[in-house]
Amino acid sequence: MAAPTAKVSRGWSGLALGVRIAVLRLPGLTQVRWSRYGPEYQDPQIDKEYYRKPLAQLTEEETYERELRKTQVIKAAPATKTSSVFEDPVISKFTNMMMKGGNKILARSLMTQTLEAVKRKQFEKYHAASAEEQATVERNPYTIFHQALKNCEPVIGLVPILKGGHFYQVPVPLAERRRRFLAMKWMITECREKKPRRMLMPEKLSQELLEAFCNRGPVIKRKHDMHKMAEANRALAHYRWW
Amino acid sequence: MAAPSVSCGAAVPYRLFLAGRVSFAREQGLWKAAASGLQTGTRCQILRLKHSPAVTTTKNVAALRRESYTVDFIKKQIEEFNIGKRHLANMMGEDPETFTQEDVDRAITYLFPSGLFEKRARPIMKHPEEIFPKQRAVQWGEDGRPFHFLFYTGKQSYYSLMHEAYGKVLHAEERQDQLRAKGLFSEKSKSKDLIGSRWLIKEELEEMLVEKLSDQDYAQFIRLLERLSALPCDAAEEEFVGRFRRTVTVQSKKHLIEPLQYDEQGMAFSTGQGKRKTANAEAVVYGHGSGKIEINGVDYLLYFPVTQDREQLMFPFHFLDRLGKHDVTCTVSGGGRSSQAGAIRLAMSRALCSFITEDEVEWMRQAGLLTTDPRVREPRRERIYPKRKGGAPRQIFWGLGARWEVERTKIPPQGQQSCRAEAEPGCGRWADNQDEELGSPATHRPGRDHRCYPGADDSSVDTRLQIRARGGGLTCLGCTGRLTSSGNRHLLWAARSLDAETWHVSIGGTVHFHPRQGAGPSLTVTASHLRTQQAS
Repeated sequence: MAAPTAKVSRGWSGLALGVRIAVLRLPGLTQVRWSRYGPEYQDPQIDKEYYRKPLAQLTEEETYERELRKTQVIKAAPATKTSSVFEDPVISKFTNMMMKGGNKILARSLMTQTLEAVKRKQFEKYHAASAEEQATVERNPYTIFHQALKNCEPVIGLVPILKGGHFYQVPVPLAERRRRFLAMKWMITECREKKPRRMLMPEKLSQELLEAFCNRGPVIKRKHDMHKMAEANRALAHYRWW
Repeated sequence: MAAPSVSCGAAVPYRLFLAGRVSFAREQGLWKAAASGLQTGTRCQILRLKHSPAVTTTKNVAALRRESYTVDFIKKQIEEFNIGKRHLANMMGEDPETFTQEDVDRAITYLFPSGLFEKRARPIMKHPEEIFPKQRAVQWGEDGRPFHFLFYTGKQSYYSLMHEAYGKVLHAEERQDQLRAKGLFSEKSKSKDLIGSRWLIKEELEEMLVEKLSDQDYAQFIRLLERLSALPCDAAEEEFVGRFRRTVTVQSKKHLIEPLQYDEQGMAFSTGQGKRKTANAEAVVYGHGSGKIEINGVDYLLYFPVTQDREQLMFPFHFLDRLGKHDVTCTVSGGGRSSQAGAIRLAMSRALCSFITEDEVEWMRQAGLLTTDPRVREPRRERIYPKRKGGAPRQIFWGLGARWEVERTKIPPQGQQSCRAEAEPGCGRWADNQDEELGSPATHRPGRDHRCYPGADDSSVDTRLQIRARGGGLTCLGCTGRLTSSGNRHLLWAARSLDAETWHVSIGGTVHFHPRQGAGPSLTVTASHLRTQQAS
């Protein structure tokens, strides 16, 4: 376990551009989060097609960007990302949120079991349906998953703002990533809390996903509740200053 | 921190002092006093100051004002530096004419070896331009009138530079208009090596102008330069803009690509090494194969039952569309399953570099396959006591009410030394138990500071480790006959901090710590100090 001694130094003044092992000390402030990478390190681009694109088809901006990347130092690719076609960033994020105590193996197996359960249920429905209805039954678990989470995303959120000694719930537009996070969070919380005792997580989660896909179910209801509260507190909207 | 001057007769100039930021040195009284002495230019004054620390510590009025170096002083320093360089070259037996700064640095590290950890505190000998901060000459004449017309702006160099740059912009625009009027204007896009160079950063500009700038000033200046570079320029203007650009390493391919090797059957192969956290891997990739991967003699499907790890192994091959075309044999040790997979991935990527084109190597680098992941587990101390100003550097862990400190003292090997013989005063021996042998049972008073030097028989080990346990009761072998689980815990912590992979306790109360393969001989700790403190 190599723990290098911390030195106060800046990257540009003679130290090789590399791993930052120093902390910039400011009076009265303690840095609590830092990274082993210096600020000059860029995130890796893992998509294979990005590199396979022939040079002739690139726009000027893309050429410039390519040239620029050649001069930059790149971080190492994380252990969870690959160039595989089966990798889905939404599924990975959801798996990480489901994970407890760093048990990624369990979280991932639950995720695969959920997708399998969704697929099985849809196939049963497909085989039980008539010829016209069969066209409408969606069997790809990944599309169901994405669509369900998209249906659960709230459009507007509430933020507590302190004014005059009281906290008011002010309606606020949410950023894209906040919306995605809320949808996933609600889904996981719903499944954990309202699950019957002997039911396993994949079964409950597949149930909820299918219901959300059809725009019904408790998670959709929660989203609608959030929208109604935002509508009710419309008058406080001017408390927002950003 | 004093700034001693090293002098070997008159050969080496007295300027051979401790390095460091001059701003930091400025805060030291010695510097200011020395500087004020230097103004008068007498050498004996400086020496006197060096030997009278009382002067350096008291605040004197001369020290409080900003020190300034006269032009003559700097010139003299440069002369002395050059003479000193020649003397140094003579001493090292090299040609004074071709003695470069790198040779100077090497000579200084040879003549003045320093064990200080802080590299900037070690002795250096550099050109006075690098040591003394650049200062501006006096800005006004004897009558008090300033020389520069922009003096009263406060930032005369900056504003005169902006003035000059804007003049050039107007000139270029005028020329562009003339060309347009004549119809000779062509919309040629100038690719002026924008990638290979970067603008000066604010600190560099400040250094150049010897003036403090604000962020807005700097941004304004860069905007003006970009506007100038966007216009068609002639050679003079290009040269002007070039003064404010610095080159950047275009291709950061620092690692060399090994050539292919061939074994007896004529099969091409290549080796690569990789590490991640504490795992080390070495991979041999064969040119032709069916995608078989063997790790420590075991198939990868058996070695890595988790899908994520196998995906990591597959990553480099899938990225290059070479799945199933290579055979790999690798060995890996250390770390956990994920770090072993990461280490093998890096090793395989590096080995694959020999089989692919340079473009593909660059693609792999940009995909992050060729970078060693620098993230390591945060030391325990950081997790318990987060960094704060003046945090203690010692590594401390708790166990059974005993507070353990592990101190590593590096002692250069000086032949056979027994534990006892090299005990420094105040440590190493039980002051009150003179007749005690290390390892023999003894009753210790509660609360005593117990120390023990392990590795008495390991003369090759040049690291002595002291494990001190203050107070508390620790069970161990000898008294009870077996170690309890609570007793195991402190040994586990000790083993972790010693980077030992395994440890075992032998009868007689000795604990042997075995390091990782190849890390060194095993260390022995006598467990006499691990005795139970009987309730007194």
